Amino acid sequence: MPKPENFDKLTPEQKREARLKAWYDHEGIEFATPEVEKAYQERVKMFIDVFQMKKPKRVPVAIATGFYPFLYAGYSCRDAMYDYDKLGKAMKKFHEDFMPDTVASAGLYVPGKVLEIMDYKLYHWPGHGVPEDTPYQCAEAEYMKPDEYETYLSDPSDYFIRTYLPRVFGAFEPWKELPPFTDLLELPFIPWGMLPFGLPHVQESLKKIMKAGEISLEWAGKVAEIDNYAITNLGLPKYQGGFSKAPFDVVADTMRGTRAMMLDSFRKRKEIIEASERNIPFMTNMPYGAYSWGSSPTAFFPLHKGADSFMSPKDFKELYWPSFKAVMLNLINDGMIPFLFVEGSYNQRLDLITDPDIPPGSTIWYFDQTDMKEVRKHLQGWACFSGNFPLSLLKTGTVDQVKNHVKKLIDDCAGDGGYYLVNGAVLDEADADNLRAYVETAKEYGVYK
Amino acid sequence: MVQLFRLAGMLPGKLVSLLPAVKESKATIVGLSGFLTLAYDPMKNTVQALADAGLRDSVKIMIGGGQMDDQVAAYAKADAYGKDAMAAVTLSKGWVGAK
Repeated sequence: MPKPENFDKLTPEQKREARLKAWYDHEGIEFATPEVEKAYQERVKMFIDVFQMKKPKRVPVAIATGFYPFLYAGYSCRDAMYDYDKLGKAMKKFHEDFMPDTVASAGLYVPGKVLEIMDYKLYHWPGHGVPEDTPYQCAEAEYMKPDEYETYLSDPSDYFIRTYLPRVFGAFEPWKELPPFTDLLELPFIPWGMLPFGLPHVQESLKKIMKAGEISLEWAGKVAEIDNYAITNLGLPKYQGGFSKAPFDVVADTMRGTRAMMLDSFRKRKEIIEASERNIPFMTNMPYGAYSWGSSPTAFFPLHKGADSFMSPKDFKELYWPSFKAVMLNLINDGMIPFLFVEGSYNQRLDLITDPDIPPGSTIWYFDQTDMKEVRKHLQGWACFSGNFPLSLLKTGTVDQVKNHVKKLIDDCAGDGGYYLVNGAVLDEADADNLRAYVETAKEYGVYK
Repeated sequence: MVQLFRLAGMLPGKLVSLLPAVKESKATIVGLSGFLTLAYDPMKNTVQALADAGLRDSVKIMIGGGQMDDQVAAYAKADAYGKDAMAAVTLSKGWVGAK
């Protein structure tokens, strides 16, 4: 079903229905067999049902992956990011052996070569800053200085091009010397604007960026091939469409850093609010980079700094929520479904997030460590909710403990529909028998009679 | 006195400095901070290493951080799990008998 010509005239609910239908209709995907196609549509329907807070055929079960598929296949974390052959083999084996209800995308394992060429400073990754059997890790620092809020506010793109990115990537460093592109206005200004591009170190930078681009293109092709195997041969849908972040996290995670942002929350509250508001349009638009018509119409937000232990409910209400809500409402009005991953816990926030301005059935909430009984009390009938199967049981528990906890979660959460099962945080190490028991128990016990 | 050692993923090297530090400082409480599943086995190995070095009975061991919980504390044979920094303080005070 192509995008309706009158799409812009539809109501938000109608837009969402149209996007969900396009996902269900899966035009252009060719499956290995009719049986696989049927199984795919059944799974998509189960997810659409829970997104719409209904009772599905059975409780869908997802595995949120970290580097587990590589450890399971006997490969290293480094292999995931440097060896396309092993990347494909590990993801194929993982999906075939465990058969969760969704695809775990290979896109998570970005090519280490690109990060090396770009000289990316914000993360360490296996073989580059951390051991080869360790997942990638964020290495926070104050990449945005405390006196730069005004510069950022006045022109965020220019700030990124000529100040922020040159600090984060060695390959972008020469871009400090580029002209503001807003100068390229008239014939007499042009060659002056072009001058920096003739400098050897600027040209070196461009060569590196081109190389990074070539490798990224090649990698993206491999990822599509690898994900397509799970989709077309195993009938597993991708339930993530696009990606975004809460505006406060944009500034706090990789610009100011946790510590600096906490100080700012005492000394620069006005600036935090202004900077968060300033990036609302960017975070609204970001999901459309990965989402295209026919994808799952979800916009996935990993939520970080608003967790219980990072800020008070007062700061959450004043600093975190308003700009975040604005992004969500923009997406909701366009028929997209914000898919919120609450990392840490929101035990002190459940009354705050169930904001009456957010229409029922317009969001999906995935919880890490929040109390699931409380989640159900607050969210049932307002939004789809999921989580919180503990990683500790998957890695250190017994098969019986895993089975019992799956049943307990389903008993506690799934009775009125609108719930699906997923582990609370990304999976690196686990016991294979436990993981198998987790999926199988969910499929048997989660059937709605 | 609080001394911090970063362990996960880098265990063998750091144990070399942790064990003597515990012995020399006569520390009575050891806290292990971790994030994801890759911290579980290093924590277990650290507790075992303290036992092998004859230091286990002279210390109380707490774990915390990210995906740690009571299940992991039992797995690692630590004495307790704390949800956050405040819990660590409460545990410590209880162990040293402070108010």
